[in-house]
Amino acid sequence: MAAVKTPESNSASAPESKSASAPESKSASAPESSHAASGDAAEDSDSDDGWLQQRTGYRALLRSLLDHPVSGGPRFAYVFGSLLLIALCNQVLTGALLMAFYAPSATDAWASVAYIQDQLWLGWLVRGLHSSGASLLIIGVVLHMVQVAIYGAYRAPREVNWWTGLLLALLLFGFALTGYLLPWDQKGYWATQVATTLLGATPLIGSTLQQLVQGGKAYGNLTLTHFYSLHVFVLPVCLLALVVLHLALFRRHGVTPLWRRGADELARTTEPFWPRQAVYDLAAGTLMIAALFVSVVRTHGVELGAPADPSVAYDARPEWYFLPLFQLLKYFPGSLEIVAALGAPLVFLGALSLMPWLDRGSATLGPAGLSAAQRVRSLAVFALCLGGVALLSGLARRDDARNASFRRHQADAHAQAVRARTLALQGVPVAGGIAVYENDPLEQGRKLFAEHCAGCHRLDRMGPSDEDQKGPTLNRLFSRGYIEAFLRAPDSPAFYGKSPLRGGMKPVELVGPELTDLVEYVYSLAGSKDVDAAKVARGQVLFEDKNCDLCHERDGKTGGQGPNLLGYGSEAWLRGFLLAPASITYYGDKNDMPAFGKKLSDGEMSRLLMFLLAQRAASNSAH
Amino acid sequence: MGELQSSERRSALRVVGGILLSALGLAWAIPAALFATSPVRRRRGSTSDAKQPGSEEDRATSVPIASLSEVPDLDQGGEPLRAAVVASGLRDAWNRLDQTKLGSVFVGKRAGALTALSATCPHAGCGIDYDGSRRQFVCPCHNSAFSIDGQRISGPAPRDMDRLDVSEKGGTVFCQFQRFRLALKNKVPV
Repeated sequence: MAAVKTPESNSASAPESKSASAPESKSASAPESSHAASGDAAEDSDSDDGWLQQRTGYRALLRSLLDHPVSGGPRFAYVFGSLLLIALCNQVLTGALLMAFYAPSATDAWASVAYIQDQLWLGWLVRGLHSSGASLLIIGVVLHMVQVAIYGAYRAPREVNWWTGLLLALLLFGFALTGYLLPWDQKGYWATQVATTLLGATPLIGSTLQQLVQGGKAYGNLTLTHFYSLHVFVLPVCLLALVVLHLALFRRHGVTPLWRRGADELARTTEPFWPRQAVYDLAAGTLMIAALFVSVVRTHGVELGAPADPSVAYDARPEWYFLPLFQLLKYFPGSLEIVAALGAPLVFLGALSLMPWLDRGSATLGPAGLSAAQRVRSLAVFALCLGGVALLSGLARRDDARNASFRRHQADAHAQAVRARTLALQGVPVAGGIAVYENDPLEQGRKLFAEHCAGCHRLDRMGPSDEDQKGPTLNRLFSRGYIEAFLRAPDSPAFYGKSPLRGGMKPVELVGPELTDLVEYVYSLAGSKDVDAAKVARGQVLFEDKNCDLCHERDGKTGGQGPNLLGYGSEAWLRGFLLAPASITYYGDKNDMPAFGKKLSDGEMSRLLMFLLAQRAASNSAH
Repeated sequence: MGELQSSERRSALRVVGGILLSALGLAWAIPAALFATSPVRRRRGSTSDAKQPGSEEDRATSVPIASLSEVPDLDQGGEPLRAAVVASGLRDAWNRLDQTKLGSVFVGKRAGALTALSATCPHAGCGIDYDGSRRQFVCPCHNSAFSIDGQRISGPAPRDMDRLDVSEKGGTVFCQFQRFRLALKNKVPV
């Protein structure tokens, strides 16, 4: 009630002082009218009873908001609450924009975020502002709490305000947790698994609670729709309610000036919120938002990881503001984990909410307040809480910095993310998420192999059963290892043992360095650059000495008992083979393989070739 | 004098406050407007997309809709065939679509030539039906009626049904599917 009375009495006095100063400040009419533009149309008549004012009485509302007295005058120390409001505006605005382009489903989430990040104009900026804005809010909350703690504003009669503030901070973590999962990338997927698993470890209601939150026994579409609804509706409504309450309580009690200022001085220097304190708040806010923009632009927004893949392990790390809790879990083995996960935050919040009663004389002393020195107990608890959080956070960072495999995995994950997002530029198949890898020509080549070749040939896990295998196994095709194994036993079941070509070639009886030399020579026929020239030269002599050349021509034209080996293992050789395996330069009338190349389009052919030739590259790098 | 100074200072502060507020507003509003309107502008990287089959540029190319043998001869009393237009390789924001239904067309032979009419009513975009007993096309929404050749007979439709290009190759009928703006007198592609 009191809060309503103040602005009314203000509204009675403010117009008077304004009309009194109006004749004197004719020269200053330009800034005056520019201010009026923000007020509304009726202002220019100098009359208080404009059309809109008569019907809505909006000026009373405006005055009640702007003319709220700041006891003891404006201070930069009071800007933090307003900074949080401004940062919150950033979240609401960028969040609403992201909502218009995001699809909360397990198949579409990652693809839609990749689309926002890489294909929409300034999508990276909007997403970056939203993500870094969350970090900004957490930093802002800490600063706000520190200011409140130093000035003693948590004390009577502002305890309820202190509690609503703590609840607001808790809500922010709820936003952060639910928002982290929404992109459905590796990072969010695995980190959030940790959180929901911990929830499931809650005594008694744990597993029910976990299933309720994630919409079933495992992650899927319902997990995203649930998290989405929490993130964009349930939590915002709670936040709005709490913010309104927090601000109403703030208006009831006003700011808390430093304890050493006397009541007379405070009364003498009191000023309305608008314009000076508002300008302080806005100046700090503009600086803060500018810093946010600069940091987002410098990092080109926040990284989007590779799409969530339950089959690919990931070193899950939460967002930086969850690191203390993450670190704490390392110290609580097995069943005690829940103590850390739920107990520690409860103790933390409990300690902070009891701060108003920790000091001697808290109950008896009025708003005049205690100095910081007299509040040593509550401030010590506060410092202990913050210090503990900072320490755990530092330890977590140090652990990761010393962990070489973590850094290596991070680099791999980054490379995978870049690959997935590049492929996503072609459009993600409707199967969504990890189906983006199907855009990779290599992946498409693998599919073509499975479709056309795997009836007779084996490669990796593709291919027929033993009794159906007709052609060679093509693992590491054209690699040195493949060539060597073939030369030693061409009739092994992995090569021609099960085809009509069986018995067509005798095993090479060379061993040791001579075999290596011959292998190097055959390997070099593809035109590979990574060969040992000396070995190749010796191998070529062996090729002729051992009469390989009696059956194998090397001119690309002449037929023989065996395939013509000009360019053996090169793309051209393989392409020619797939198009016409029965040609005299390949297997002639002994050929048993259909000319699959003729069934494939040019694009399919080149993707299949890329896949087959990659077998050699893959095994080379493994050497 | 002090009173005047303080009032001038307050005015100056008001201006500064207004400027800061506007700066903040613009910092958000400009990127927001660019972001929100980006789907109406051309997609970035569309030049490379254009090389791929089924890209935006490819949309106007013909898609097979029926085999020639199943197309009825309207002069012989046959009823126009409603054929679905299925395109492949289209993009829908983040998705690449393999087989997508774009709409349907009525095909028939008239005086020996193939004709195709879009089944989208040029009035408000409802799907047009064929009424066999009257040998007319009828829109079920606002009762526009069209002759078997697509000419407007009655109702609110502003123009005839939209005729599409059809061709035949090797016994398959191809249609060049296009969408036209609705509720206009003239046929203007979207």
